[in-house]
Amino acid sequence: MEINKIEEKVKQIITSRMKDQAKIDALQYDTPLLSLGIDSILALSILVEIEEAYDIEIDDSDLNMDKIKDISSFADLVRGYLKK
Amino acid sequence: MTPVIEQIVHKENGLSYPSGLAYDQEDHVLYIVDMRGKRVRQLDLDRKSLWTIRDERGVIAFPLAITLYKEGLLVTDTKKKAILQYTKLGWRQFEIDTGNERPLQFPGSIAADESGNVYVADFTTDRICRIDGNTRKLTVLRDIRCHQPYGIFVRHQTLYVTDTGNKRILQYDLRMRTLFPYCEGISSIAVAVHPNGRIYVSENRKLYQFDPRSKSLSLLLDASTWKQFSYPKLCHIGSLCIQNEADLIFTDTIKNTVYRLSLQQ
Repeated sequence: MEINKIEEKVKQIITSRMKDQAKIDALQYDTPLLSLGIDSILALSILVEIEEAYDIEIDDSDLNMDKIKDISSFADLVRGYLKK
Repeated sequence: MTPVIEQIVHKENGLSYPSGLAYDQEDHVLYIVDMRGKRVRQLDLDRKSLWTIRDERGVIAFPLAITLYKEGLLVTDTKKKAILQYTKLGWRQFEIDTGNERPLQFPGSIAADESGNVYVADFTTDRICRIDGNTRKLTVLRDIRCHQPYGIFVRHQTLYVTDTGNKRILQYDLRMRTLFPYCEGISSIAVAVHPNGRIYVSENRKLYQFDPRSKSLSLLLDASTWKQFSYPKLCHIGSLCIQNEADLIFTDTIKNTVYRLSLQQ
């Protein structure tokens, strides 16, 4: 489904940085990233990769863990910038 | 006006998330915390050579911030929830007497004053802690009410804290115990204060200069200005330090690079 294309891209970027296959298999769109050991710095580096994938630039005010706490929130943020 | 910026450590130099900086004016050496490399690197700015400070016993687990301390260094380690000290004898844990206070939980940043007192921002407990230089006793500076304090700097009995959760900078006079908030609305990360009193603050992709006398805030650098340079994309200004009267050094923690910004233009 088109609606999940961004979610799937975000998931792909996140799982490419994970080593634990069980966690990769269990990863859902609403799985908290912190529970995967993804801290704020790692989350930021994932966000940078997403920016480059979609050719967008996220504003500083949106670069915080409240807005990128799971795949869904990542995707919502990207979607918001793609509409601009 | 276009800022003058020089890349002094490149991605190819092998840093892995450089998260902390300290500059030794006497030896012209820049210390860089190589967070995911679990080490501290030393850049000789005269010879332009980069070394790793040896840690044969594997004391360092997850370093984050650094400060010069007496004849060595202090580094915060967030995995060990401790401060590590480096001297000629090598790395060891910096022993602290916490008394009745809760031990450090996430020592995110650190600074030391001329008397050897140490100040630590304990990020997840919203505490600014002072460790006495002689007794090593930890006290919590309860006058400083903050949320997610990320960066800390001390100069002339004044503390500067990036109160990240509240989007502001706090200036605290340690003698008078007075607290002033500045730069409200900025999602501040790192802070450094120039000898002339000007405060330099970073967000992820922005660098500001604040003059506490005139209360004027200037944007020195942002993503738009950065595009003028052929450097890697600016992602996260994780740490700052003042090199001398003329220069400010900062890390891009995500892009594994270190830059020098000339303040005199």
